[in-house]
Amino acid sequence: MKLKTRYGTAQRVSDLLILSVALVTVFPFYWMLVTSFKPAPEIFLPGVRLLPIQPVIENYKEVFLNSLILRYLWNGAVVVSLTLLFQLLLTIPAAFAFARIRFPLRDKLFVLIIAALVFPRFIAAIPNFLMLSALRLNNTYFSLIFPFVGSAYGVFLFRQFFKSIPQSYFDAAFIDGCTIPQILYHVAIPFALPVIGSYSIISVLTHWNDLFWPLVIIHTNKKLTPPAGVVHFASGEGANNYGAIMAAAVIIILPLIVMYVAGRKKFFENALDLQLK
Amino acid sequence: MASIVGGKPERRAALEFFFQEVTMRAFFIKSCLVALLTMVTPWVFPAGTKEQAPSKPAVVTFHRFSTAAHQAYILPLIAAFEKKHPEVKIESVEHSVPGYEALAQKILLSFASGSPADVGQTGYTLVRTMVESGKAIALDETLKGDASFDRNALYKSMMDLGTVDGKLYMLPLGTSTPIMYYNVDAFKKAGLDPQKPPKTWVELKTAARKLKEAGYEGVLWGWSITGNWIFQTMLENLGGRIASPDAKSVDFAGPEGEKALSYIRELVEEGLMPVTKDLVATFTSGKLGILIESTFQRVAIPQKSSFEVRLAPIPTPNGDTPKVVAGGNGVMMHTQDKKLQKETLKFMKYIVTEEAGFIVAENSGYLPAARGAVATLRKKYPDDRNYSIVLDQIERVTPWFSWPGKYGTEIQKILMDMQESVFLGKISPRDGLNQAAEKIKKLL
Amino acid sequence: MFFKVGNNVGKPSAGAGVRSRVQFGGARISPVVPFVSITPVLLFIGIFIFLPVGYSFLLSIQDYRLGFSTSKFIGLDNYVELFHSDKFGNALKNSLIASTATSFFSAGIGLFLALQLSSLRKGKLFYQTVFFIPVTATMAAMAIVWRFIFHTEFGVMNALLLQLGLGKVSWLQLDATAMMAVILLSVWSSFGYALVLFLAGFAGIPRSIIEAATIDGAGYADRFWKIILPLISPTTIFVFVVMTVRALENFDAIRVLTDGGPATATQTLSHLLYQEGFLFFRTGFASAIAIVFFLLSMAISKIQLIAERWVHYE
Repeated sequence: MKLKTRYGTAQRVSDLLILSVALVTVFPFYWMLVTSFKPAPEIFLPGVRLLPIQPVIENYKEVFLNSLILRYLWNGAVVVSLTLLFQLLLTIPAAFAFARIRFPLRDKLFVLIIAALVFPRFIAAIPNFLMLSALRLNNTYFSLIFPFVGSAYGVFLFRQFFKSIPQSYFDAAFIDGCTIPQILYHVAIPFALPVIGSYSIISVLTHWNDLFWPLVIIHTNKKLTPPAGVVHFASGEGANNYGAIMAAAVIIILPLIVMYVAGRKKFFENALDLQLK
Repeated sequence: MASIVGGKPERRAALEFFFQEVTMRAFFIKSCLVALLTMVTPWVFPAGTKEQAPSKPAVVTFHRFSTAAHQAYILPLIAAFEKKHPEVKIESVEHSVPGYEALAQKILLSFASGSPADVGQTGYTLVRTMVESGKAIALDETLKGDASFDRNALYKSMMDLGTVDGKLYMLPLGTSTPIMYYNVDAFKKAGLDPQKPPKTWVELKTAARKLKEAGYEGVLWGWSITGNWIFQTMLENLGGRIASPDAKSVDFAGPEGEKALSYIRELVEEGLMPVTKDLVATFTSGKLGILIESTFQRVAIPQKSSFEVRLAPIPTPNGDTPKVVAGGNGVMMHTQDKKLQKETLKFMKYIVTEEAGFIVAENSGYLPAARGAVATLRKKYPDDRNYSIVLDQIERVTPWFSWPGKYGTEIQKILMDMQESVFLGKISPRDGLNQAAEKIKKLL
Repeated sequence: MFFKVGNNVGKPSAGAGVRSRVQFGGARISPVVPFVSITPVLLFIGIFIFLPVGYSFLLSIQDYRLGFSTSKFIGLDNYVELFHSDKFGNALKNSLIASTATSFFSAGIGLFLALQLSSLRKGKLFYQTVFFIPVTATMAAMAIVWRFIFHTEFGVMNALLLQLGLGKVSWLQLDATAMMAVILLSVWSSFGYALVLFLAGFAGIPRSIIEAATIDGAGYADRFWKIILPLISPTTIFVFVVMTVRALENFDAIRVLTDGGPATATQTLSHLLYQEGFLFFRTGFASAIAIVFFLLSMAISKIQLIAERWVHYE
């Protein structure tokens, strides 16, 4: 909908501004890509070279052969998918129960869950680290996944959604003789697929991109997640090889960006309405 | 359904569930498969997995760096040792940390978390810290009666590095010293004689000025090297020191410290030194004329440079032979298990043999403690001028200062930050030194 | 586990108490169902969020240093040391500067773009997608890229300046420019998020109001200031606070871009916490920092609530 009409120069100025912002937005990606195809001597040449003289792939070779980038990507994929899986397994039934089943202490317990949203991630970091280390679970997949499995945000989101489904649907199924789990599985979840989709995107984005926690809990190279891995590469093996560092960065961000761009329509339709509610 | 089953409603319902909720079971089974994938991971990437060690030979856990530069000499070392001693297996726990301080912290952490290290790689600057944690085992008793251990075959200066309060705790793995790298092509272009690199600080400044005129960044002192190594080197060559060994007297803030920092500050002000932590890259890119760094980079720097690189002793205030601070690391024993101590000792003793020394020297810029190895290297590379300078310096090393107490890491950061602030002109050398000294005294 | 059966419709009431109070719709069901459904989440939230928070308070009153000695209770000494230390004041100052500037610019640019884009028919999705990409890109990786861009020797910023005949700037080595770089990176990675939130907020403004105003002869400026702005105030506050909290929690950008800046010039609370807790292993002290950080975010959220209420009553 139109919030303002634009005329003449005002329009041109604002168009220009939008274009500038777009350029600044895109430039780092462009520069990263371009540098990753330049050989090392060329990177050190003075002047702004927007295109490589002759693109090379040796940087990518260097990254794939001499770093654990594939391992990092694998770790990322495993951690992110298992985290999401367990989050959904835990939060959806809980959200359904909070939304549609009346039981004693329901509201108080729900407030408790909401209270968990209040804390920034750092406050739990030190004790979690101590606890997991004492159990010798530090430096494991477990430690990367399970601290996040209890997703208060998920419970909140799904409960919101389940509340918005008219009770009549559930009643109908109930009368037909369905058990609660069946109602959940056959009625509630199919309706909730868009919300589940948005939540999944948010969860995947958050946990793939998390640098802090893996940095804290993981100390062997081969167990690092993509962000921690690329930081390690940029300051260790590849410290002076900017071409390779850029190549590694490209490889790390590519999966998410591809997924995001592919699913952008769905993303914008669903994810952000929920933010405001 | 009900007719087939009959009986109690709950039982009926349970069986209904079992037969009807096939789709839910399928979903559940899929999730279990995904969970299995995690367990498959170690076999997907077999090369990196060392944690699945067979239990027949004794297993010694060795905590160390994970970077390629260190793996280059450690991995062949471990392989050679295991070949000689098949009854011992070294299980490496690699740490992806940037420096010796962080590595020491991780090793200490391993004691707290229940999976302690048996032997650890420790930088020379942290030997004291490890000893003070109470978790390092003294080696004198065990080595005294050991005929196969010849202390005289090793450089005394390096063995001293591992001695705290008269007791030996660490055996050196590899030692480096400060050295000057210079770009021969840049020298020629600037009108400097590559055969006569600068020997004094004044000559260095002049050379840097000429380099600047020729379009290069002049000189870069490796101030950001871990453990404030170069700062200590400069102090000692001015006749000062960082502090007394028990740190009761904190001396770096004295006139020597001020001289050292002022000298660099002047270089920066004249545009003769860039203030950067990117030491090697700035040099290998060809933009820098002179770099003062560690002999550890002896192999890497010429490799990465497209120009001729020569090594020379670092310039000193008056042109005397430089005092060189030992950089590098060694191994310390931490295991309390008597039986495992024997096996661990085998590994540690192997490291200081001639054979091991070769492996270290050939695969890195480090020099080993075994005199015999160094002598043979000298014979093997008689014409390598760069190498012979490195070999000469090894006999003269002085200890890398090791702060007592728990705050080693913090103190190193305070000193590093102080240097950065002084070089960037944010604070005068005198004030910077005083502030740092105060902060450090408070911590001690 | 969760899919246990608990359908008791039709069964005679098997007793009073809990059973009769557990209902689905109007019907009674077994209490097993909700119990099994909510217990796992509560368990994990309890173990990994509530327990640590409580333990944090405990840790913050101890002198505990990991790996070295046993701890002893020292009361509020950690906090006293904290408030007297330069590094805390510095980190607090940096956190506040960085997060306010970031949220101000992110929200501002987001709002501006949202206003421009809202009147587009085509291309809206395209621009939204483009502007949102930085939000999805791994901050650690992009911080590495920006660090390279700002590199004194090899970065393209200085290459550009040199080409234009101007001098090099040591972007990441001067306090002011390092902070600016941090803010730039944070804004760059957040404004797309602000934009999308604003657009979603605009969608809730009924068209009729705008049209009515146009018909009534209100000019462009009037329309904007008197009608649109008040209507989007709630959204604006919301966006502002989301951006602030996001910026406060920002660790990745600073750790990778400047690692606390030249000396500690860009060290924020989150970075200080990491340093004290996981580099120096001063566990007790770092827990005190965590508690303070938590209280700070609570304060900011409280301010949001107040502002929101104020805006709604206007």
